[in-house]
Amino acid sequence: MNAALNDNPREPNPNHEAEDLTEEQLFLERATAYWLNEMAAEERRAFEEQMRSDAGFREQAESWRVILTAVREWLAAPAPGVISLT
Amino acid sequence: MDDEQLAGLASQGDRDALATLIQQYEVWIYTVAHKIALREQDAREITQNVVSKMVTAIRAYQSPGNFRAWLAAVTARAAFDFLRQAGRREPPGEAVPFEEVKEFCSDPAPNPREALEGQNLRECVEKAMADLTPQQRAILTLRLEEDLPTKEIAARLGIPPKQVRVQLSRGYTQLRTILADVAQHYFPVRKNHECGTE
Repeated sequence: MNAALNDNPREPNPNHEAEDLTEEQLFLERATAYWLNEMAAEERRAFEEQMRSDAGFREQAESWRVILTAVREWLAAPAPGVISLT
Repeated sequence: MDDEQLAGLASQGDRDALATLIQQYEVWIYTVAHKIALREQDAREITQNVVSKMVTAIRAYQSPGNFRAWLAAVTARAAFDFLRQAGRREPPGEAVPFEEVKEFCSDPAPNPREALEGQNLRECVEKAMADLTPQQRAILTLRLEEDLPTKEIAARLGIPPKQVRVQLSRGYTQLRTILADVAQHYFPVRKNHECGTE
């Protein structure tokens, strides 16, 4: 199933190790976990401490929150068109 | 009777419970399918496929569980299968190249009404999502709409967890690249934000 999907030439090799994630990707992964309230208490405290002490970090995290919210609202919004099978 | 109870009964062969679930969720299935396929006709066909699959797939449902997340994953897999079989790995024809989407969303300049309604932001989100692959959209849907962790997404979609993580991260990066400016335009980041004071 996946081989066919991953033949897409627009898409880089999906078999890269997760350890190859960029710093930005690791940040977004972490910030998503924070805004979705999924972090363990200790990790959450560390994240919030970094938000308090680093204005740039805080701004990036807040900016990502806005984007996440917009994407989640789009995903939850009704789709155009109608469907009735019953 | 709630959805979990209906799903439990349906998994044991109760056809009335299954019919009720289908009736309650068909529009929602269509919505999830549309977010992945981005075309109405495709979303309708995927919805029909999901409903057909539910008749047998529901037997594997373990109650109590998370019926909605289970159904979202069934829909995502059905969308994968449909798009692969139809040879529609690319976004719809109307999808705009990345650079054009980025440029469009970098200078929103909406009129006041559009700004009030966030219309331009929604349009940018839609264009940004259209610029992702169907697999990335499916993974993002399960992650951000159903709040499923990457390992669970991998298990439900039958793909390696590392692949989910990589695709998710690439999706995040691309969304951020396209949407950062327009998001800032609508909701300026508060410079003096204090954690926990919201």
